[in-house]
Amino acid sequence: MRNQDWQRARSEFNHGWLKNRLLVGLLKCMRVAEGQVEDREVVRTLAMLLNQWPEMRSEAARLLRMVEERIVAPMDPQTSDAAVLSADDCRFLLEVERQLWLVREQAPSRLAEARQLLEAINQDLTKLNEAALDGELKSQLSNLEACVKAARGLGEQFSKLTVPRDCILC
Amino acid sequence: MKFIVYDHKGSEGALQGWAKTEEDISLATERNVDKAVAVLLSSDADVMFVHLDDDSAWNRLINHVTESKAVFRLSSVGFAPTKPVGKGQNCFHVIPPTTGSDALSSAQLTEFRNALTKEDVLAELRAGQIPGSIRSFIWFEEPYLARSLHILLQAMLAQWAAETGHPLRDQAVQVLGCRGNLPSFSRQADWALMLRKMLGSVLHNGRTIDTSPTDAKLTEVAMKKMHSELSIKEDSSGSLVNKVETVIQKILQASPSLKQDDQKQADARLFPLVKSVYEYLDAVCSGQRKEGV
Repeated sequence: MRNQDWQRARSEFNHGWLKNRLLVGLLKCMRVAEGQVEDREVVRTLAMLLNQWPEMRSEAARLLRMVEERIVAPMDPQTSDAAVLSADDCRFLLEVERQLWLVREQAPSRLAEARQLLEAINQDLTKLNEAALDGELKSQLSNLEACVKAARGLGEQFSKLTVPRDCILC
Repeated sequence: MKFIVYDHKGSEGALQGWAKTEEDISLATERNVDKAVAVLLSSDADVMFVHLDDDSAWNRLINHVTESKAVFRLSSVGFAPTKPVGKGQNCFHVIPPTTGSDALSSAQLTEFRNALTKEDVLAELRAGQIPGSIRSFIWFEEPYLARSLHILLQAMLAQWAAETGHPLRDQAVQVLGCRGNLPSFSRQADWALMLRKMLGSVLHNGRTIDTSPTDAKLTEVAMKKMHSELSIKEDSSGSLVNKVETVIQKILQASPSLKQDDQKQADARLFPLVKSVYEYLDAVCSGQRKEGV
């Protein structure tokens, strides 16, 4: 996966789904559970989001795998770069970029933290999914709070994730 | 100057939350996005801040909004540098925050709003110049050439930092901010040739060309592009412009066949300039744009 595609996919997952849909849905449920508002649709929306989670979880894992690939191995130059500069020159320039990224962005520790947070939210959402959602949301308040905290944590961590430049002339 | 704000997330949106705390900002509160666009189009506000996820609604807005108005589209994650859009080139995408977290804070939004109310800021923006006070919010052009030069200077510094006993080693490590496990070229790097190819490619949109322009021509056209990418005014005679131009010239003039000691002396002479321009470009490429070196 090229950086541009990774950035787009990260934004769709983190901004488009996790923050804009899951977190918003969970917060609505919390307000209903706390008796602040009434919303009959909220449980159905939550069930839909929980159904989407396995697919979203795979997507998050895929994004993290790309970060791992950048951590463990040098990048191959893009064909367009190698056509202008030599492949050797491109590899050298990209490897400098990658090595500096590893240190400056603390990429390995950020990746490890993101993986832990992904596992944590998976456990919280699974617990919520296993609960009887058609019953009183009020009884799920602590589960909902845990999910909100986990979603916020994962969202923040995904926002901090970067990948090194993989293109020299674009 | 009148402002209006629309946030598709309504009261849950950070933009609307901020607007409520500001004086003299109207709010379009319709949850239906089509109705909201209609409200914006009929508004007498001079400046609109909109948070819209729906591209078709955005397109309707920019295709129908009066040219005398200015529209700024915001998103929680910001937009990539984008040329102005709309019939009057009066609609702009706000870039990701250059400092702090990944979303613009209320204080940053207030700073942006206040900057827009200053005389000439909107006029300059419409004329295609980005005033310094809003450069951390609005940016037009992807800095391809700046990024290429940045990656080349970075590699030069890394080469010096990686070579045991090189007189510039410690200084280069300091500029890069870390030692890392930097690679080392197995042969003497021909920076001049690399830069010549980079400039030729960027200036010809990636196409390989048969005729090789002279170094003077390459430098001239590169500087024009750099002016545009970094939004440096044509008549600027600031030190930044001179330093970028000089570093390009010096690298192009460098000979790859110098003896080792002569090469180290040449590197030492070039180092202050490389350091200065690299630090500026590093800020540009990491999004923390600065006014000068």
